[in-house]
Amino acid sequence: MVNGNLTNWFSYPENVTGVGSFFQHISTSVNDWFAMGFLLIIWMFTFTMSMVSGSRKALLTSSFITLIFSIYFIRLDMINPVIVFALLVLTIIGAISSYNEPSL
Amino acid sequence: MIRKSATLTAIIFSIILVFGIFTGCYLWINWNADDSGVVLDSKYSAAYNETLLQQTELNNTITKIRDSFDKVTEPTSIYSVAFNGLKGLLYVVLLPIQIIDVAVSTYLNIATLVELPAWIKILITLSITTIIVLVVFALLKGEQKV
Repeated sequence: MVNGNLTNWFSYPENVTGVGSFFQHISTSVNDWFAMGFLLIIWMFTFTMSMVSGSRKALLTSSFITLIFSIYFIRLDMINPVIVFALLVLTIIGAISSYNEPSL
Repeated sequence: MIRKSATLTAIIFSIILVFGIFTGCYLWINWNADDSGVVLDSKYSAAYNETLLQQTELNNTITKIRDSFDKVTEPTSIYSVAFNGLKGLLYVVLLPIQIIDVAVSTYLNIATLVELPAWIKILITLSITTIIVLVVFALLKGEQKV
């Protein structure tokens, strides 16, 4: 999954400067759960806050926000593509299940 | 159009959400960066420290309001009743006004991490301030949902 050959887009691993190359460097140095943990933190926070604030579209909101971040991470080759598709499915399920619900 | 959802509750929830996501992600990155032997850029730790400071400010404001309510004295005349009511209302209005500062500071603090043009920063600062001032007006008008 993480091959470390994406030197065309970012400066990994010679010069860790930009945020993207920084993420890649940590991801290859530590493990695959770095990006996954990142996505989990974002998903859990947005889902909890949506639920607490009384939104009936918590699943849609949290999955959509996490989907955007996961697209960034898949570009950096930090997560498995299955995760992006799973989030896409979650977003569609959230959109269908809360079609007539008020957002706030 | 500013909808009903642009209330004080929504603003506070947004601030808590930004605090939560930023703090959680920063600590997660910092922990992993330490493991991989990378030193984080000082601007990230500076933003984190500033966020912690803003959290303290928000907490101080809430503590001040609680303390000021404790100081409301027992009315001895009809004027005191009116005065107590006004005092209570003013202390409540103080919260959203101080939240303007916390919201704008938090936003500017996070925005320093991203390369945004200065005019966009000004526009967003203006919009945050305007929305909160409108919420204060709604509060003064006595609207129920604030």
